[in-house]
Amino acid sequence: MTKCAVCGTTFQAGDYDSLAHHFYESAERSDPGHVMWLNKNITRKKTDASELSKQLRVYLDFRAIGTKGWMKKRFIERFYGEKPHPFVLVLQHPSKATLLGYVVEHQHFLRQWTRSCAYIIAKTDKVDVTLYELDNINTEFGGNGPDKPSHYELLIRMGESLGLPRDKILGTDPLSDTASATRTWNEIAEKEHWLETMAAMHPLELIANRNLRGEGAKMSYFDRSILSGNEVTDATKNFLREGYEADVEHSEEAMDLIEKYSGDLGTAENVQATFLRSIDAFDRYLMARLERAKQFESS
Amino acid sequence: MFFCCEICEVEFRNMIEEVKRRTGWKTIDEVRITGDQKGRECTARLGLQAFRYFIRFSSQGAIDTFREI
Repeated sequence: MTKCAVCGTTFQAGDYDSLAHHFYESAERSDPGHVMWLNKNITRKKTDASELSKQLRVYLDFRAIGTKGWMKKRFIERFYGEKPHPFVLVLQHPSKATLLGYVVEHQHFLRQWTRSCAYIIAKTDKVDVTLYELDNINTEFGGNGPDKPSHYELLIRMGESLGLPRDKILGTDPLSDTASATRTWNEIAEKEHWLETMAAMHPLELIANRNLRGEGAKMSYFDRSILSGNEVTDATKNFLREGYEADVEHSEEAMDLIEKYSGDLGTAENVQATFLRSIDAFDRYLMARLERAKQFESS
Repeated sequence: MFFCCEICEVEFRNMIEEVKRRTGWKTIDEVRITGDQKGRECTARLGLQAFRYFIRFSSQGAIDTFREI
């Protein structure tokens, strides 16, 4: 099937004319979600449905580079392109407020992450997928003993090292954009195919994939020098280093699995639509980290 | 004036209000805007006066960042 990345309306596989018509009609009604998606991903100029169909076909064409290559390309474009995401820009040499904003919002992301991965395990019949998700959940949330705390625990410790008590961190509700993003991911995990849930979640780990510099990313997630200097606390280094080391493998292996099974199951187009929907949510969620950081700046 | 969606209308109204508040202007002759949702550099003009600023909006159209340039 071909699916709208905004509202999930489905069309016959490869029917970009109908998809374009759907977007065109939505734009004529000034539907904010569809208009903003077109503005961010295709064009800001008013375009007729026929031309829009051609542009969508080009945008969604993954045949030359495969599903994995296509997702990486679109992710880099969105977060590490000519204008990198504002959160990435401030994380290069992060202030205390930026890191606290990261801590307070990211705990909610990681809790949803675990739920989403659990849905994948519940729905899949593929052993390699199950084993991958189990390992990922443990690394991100469960931990592997006292010498290998999870990313979640390292995140909380980072916050504590910056002067924010654990109970205060855990007792803070998410900002509305974080809550909206986690609702989106939960809805995807509940309702969509397990492969689409994988495509919604694991490509997001590309944000910390240091190898993207070699694939066209304009910068890394943060400036590596902060891992060795005195700019940030040791607990901050421990948290960032974990992602720096684990997320290359996490993201690459997951995307290999997504490509493998989307080829087998013929659901590549659904995977694309869900991936696009997810990176939209991720974009807003990263902005929420900045919004939270501002609260710490002004307090 | 036409907007692609209601969010853009909210953003525009919020921006105009903020410019008037900071400049004390009762009216604005022109606003030139460049950029995208990651941030916009703008120049507002009243007669020969110019006010340059950087602005970014939240997902619902509220001002997230406003910085005079």
